[in-house]
Amino acid sequence: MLGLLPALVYDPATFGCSRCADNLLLVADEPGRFDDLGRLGIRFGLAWSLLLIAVAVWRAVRSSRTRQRVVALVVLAGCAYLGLVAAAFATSLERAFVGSGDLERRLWLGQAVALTTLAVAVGWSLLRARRTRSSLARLVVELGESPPPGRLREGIAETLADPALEIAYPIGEGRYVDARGRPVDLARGDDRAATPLVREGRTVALLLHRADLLDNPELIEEVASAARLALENERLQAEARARLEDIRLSRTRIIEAGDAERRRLERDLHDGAQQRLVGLSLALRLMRSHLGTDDGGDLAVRLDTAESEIRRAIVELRDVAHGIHPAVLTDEGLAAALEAFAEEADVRLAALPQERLPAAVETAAYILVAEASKRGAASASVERRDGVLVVEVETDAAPETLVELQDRIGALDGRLRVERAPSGGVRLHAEIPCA
Amino acid sequence: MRVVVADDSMIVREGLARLLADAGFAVVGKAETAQELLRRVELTSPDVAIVDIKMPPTYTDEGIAAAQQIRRSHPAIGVLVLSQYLESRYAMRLLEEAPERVGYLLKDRVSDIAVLADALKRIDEGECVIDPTIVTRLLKRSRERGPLDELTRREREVLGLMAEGRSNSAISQTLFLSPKTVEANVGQILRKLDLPPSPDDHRRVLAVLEYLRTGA
Repeated sequence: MLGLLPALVYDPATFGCSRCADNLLLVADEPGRFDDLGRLGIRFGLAWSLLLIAVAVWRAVRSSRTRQRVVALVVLAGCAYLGLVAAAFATSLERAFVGSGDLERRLWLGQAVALTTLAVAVGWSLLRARRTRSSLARLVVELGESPPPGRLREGIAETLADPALEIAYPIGEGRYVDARGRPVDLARGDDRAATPLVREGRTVALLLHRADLLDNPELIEEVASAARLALENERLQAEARARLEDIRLSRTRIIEAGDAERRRLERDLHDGAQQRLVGLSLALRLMRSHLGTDDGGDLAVRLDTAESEIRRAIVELRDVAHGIHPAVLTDEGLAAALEAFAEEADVRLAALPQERLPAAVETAAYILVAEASKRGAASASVERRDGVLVVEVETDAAPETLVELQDRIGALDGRLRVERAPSGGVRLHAEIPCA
Repeated sequence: MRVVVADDSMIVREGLARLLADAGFAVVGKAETAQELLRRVELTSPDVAIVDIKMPPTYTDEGIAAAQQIRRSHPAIGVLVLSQYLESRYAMRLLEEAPERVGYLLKDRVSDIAVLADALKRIDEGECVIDPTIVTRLLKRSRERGPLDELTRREREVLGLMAEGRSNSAISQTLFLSPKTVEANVGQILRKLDLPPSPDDHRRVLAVLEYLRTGA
């Protein structure tokens, strides 16, 4: 508009061009007004260039480090160009029109260089985006082949250039798990941010990523929509895994609660019933000794009988309590308990772990050996190898409680195999994680 | 003989104290917990302290820990641990540090004052006492054929009494044998089991028990 307005007040004839055609737009021949309008245009151009520089610099300063690195060249080249344009305007202000002198030529040359640089910079950033997009495309293709758990995270981490990126899947009750169904801690440092990926009003996954990726929400959006199906799929798998883990844990808890109950019973029998019986036998003995030797011969005999009955009851109670839970297992550990077991059972012990292990692991290994040696002479070895307790027992036949044993060991994430032994009997091979 | 009785159950503690008093022992202290026992021992310097294996707060093996502490700080005071556990492991823990002036009896024996009095007397004399039920259990345990099968019946009897902590003279009295015969038997046993030839009586218990427990 400011370029056209002067045409309304410019008559070429006034400026000495008699051969020029008439200005058809001429409203009034006013050379003074023409100069004013020219200056106004130049001032406007100057202000506009400076404003653009200010906006570009302001935005560059406000954006994150990574973004600054990416746009630095574009902003620099752009600012240089705008600066040169502003300089050209500034030098033309006196004359009221943009001239074509020596200085202007140099400024134009500078502008051309700046523009070329700007073009290269924009081209480069486009190339970068294209690269990201093609890695995204690769990811999408790969996801079509149902990736193993964790691969999706790797792919997205690669695409977003954030190796520490995590994906958390909501599985209800405010719980979040990773692809393998393990709980994810959402508490992060300041440099991490969480972006929920929402589909049909429901959060499918939570991306835990570098905070500065938020400068580029389109990229996250693009990744999310590309991987949406895979994310949904992986969320379902993660949920299933988490539920399985829940069940395993609850199985462990049930067995541990049972064991704790047995320990409590054993203790109660010892500390309650047995102590009372011991006290009773002492009382009877006192009565007996106060009776003297000469009087109440019959009564004395009856007291003796009662006392020996109580003694037998104490012994039986001890056996029952031991059968419920051997205290030595809790007090002294697996090796001591198995050694004590071997004092009365037909079992040969080859190797025993000398260190203490988790109570549930010790109990499982003990019961396995004890049950196996009920089926005949047994030989057992219990060894710890790389965080796994390996129990091997050879005996005549598989224990009757094999299913219970498998349940117990399974609840600890272990395995129990039954093989035919060269001797003709069976070999029980159990591996129980005990790290 | 002056004794201190420690048991968290009142009925057992009082009953035991009266039974011992009736049998001519001077019960100079009674304790409900291990700490109290240590205090009583400190105050009264008894000849022997009788300690229940399970006492507060954890009711596992405080008794053994207290016994070891007494033996360490008062070598002249004997300790008799009363236990409901047949496993020789607990008895071994008691013997391991210093196999003298200590005893390990099963609780169902306490009403038999003759056994109790004999154990206290032996402990006071510096011997160690292991419950015969535990020794019998070790002797009966099934094992592959080994040196134990080469022992004669008499030698097995002597071995059992050795494991109970009895001295040669006590063995000769129990089995109605001359001290010379017992000595010969003991020598024969040690040779057959390949145990060190003449360890003193206390160390001998440890060696024999260890042999019976592990078969080595």
